[in-house]
Amino acid sequence: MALITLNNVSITYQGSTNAALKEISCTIHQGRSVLIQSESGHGKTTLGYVLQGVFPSLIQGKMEGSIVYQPDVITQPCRDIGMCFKDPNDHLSMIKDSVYDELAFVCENHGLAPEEISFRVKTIARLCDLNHVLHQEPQSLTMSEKQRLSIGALMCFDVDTLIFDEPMVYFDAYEKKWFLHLVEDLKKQGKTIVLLDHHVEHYDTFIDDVIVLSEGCVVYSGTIQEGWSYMMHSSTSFEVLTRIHSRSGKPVMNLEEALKCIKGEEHV
Amino acid sequence: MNFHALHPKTKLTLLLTLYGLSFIYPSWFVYVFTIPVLFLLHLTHNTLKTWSLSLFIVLPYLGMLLLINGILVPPTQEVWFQLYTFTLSPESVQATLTQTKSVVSLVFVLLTLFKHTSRHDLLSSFQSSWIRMMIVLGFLILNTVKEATESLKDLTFIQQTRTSKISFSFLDRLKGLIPLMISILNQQMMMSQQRQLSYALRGFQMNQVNSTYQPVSRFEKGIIIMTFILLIVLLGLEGQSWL
Repeated sequence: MALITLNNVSITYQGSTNAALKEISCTIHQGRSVLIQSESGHGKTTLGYVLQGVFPSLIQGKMEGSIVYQPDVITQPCRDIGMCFKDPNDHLSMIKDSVYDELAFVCENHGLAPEEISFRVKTIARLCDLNHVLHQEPQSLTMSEKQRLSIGALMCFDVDTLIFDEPMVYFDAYEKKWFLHLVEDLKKQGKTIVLLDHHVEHYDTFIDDVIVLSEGCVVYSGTIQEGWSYMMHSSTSFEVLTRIHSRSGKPVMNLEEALKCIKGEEHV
Repeated sequence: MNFHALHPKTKLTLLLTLYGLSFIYPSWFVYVFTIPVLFLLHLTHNTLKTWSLSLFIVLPYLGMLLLINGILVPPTQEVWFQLYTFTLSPESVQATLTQTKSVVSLVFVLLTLFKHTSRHDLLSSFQSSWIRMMIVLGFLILNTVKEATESLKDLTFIQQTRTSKISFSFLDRLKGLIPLMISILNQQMMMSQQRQLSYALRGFQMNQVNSTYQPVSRFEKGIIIMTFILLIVLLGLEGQSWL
């Protein structure tokens, strides 16, 4: 079932003449995990904001086209869709004394009962490995702890659609593994996951669909299997291509092999 | 009595009463406002040094007001100094000090409240959405000042590592700060936009009534006791001619 459908959406930020997104049309299906992949500055985050429904009410800019949400699931996009920002500092409320309070913030805003808030905060703190910093000031945490805090704060209010914008930037190998397990679990629970990242290889085990952006345009939208093939032949990203090839068992691809791949002479 | 132990509403009432009294009895300002507040601060935290240092921030504000009053307030008798339309007279100085006092007192009241009350307690005590909004605004302003100061320190440090010349002249350093302040201001504005987004996504002000995981357990009736004590003190002072 289509959860969010974008029809020819174009976005131009206020004060800019160039469109950040150009006539984007794509569909996010309920219960599926979607990876939106592009190089930096090609419109991933803007597309995340569009899905979240914050244009043009919270971010000033010109928007053309339409967004259709599944009315049975999403009535208020801002409330029903959670988004984790790229920079965890942006996620902190800055009005809370402790990590505990920060996690409780979203529950308090939605008027949950005190017992329910305490239960959720404790559960999420354990899940996100934040128990040891629960009474520390959020600003004093390390970047990876802040990232886990922002993921935890997102999960404290149980939403069915989650958007993660480059969630593993500050994570070490152990934390990356933890995050991938977490997303897999969320997917098993039937939640819709949207990941915005330029690293494809982290998610290939559980991603269903891929949307590839280039300079604000959708260059591919479809399943992951077709996506691999598309990216390999269109050489959308040489970096991605190299990684795809390395998955075939060859650790490093030289230029000659890469060119063969682009021409379609060699299939992985 | 520990200032921390009071209910946030009691603290707010106490501080605003003292602030109001400084207007009703201007000559008693030192007695009814400064001393009790400093006394309360001394009882809780040894932050007097910080407060006195922060008073230096008032100096540019004082200078600006003096300039405006020197132009706008006409001298009646004595003129100490004159330059074109600017006149330094007892009237302009008096007007400047009165205006500075009113603003500084209010900032002092709010800073005292915010520094000596847990954020959770303060936000949990007030259910009215506009008061909560004002409190959040107060916290965000304090954070912005803190963040801007830290950014300034970082930028200065980066400049030093890039072997920029460090002048010991106050004016040179002030000149060097202006371009830094512009970039910091720009950064703060971008961050505030992002924060607005974050608040909206986390449901801030979405419901009319917020909940809290732990209601403030402090003695709320203290508000009545505090007002009563203040009234007694006031009535006592009213009879003292030496004040």
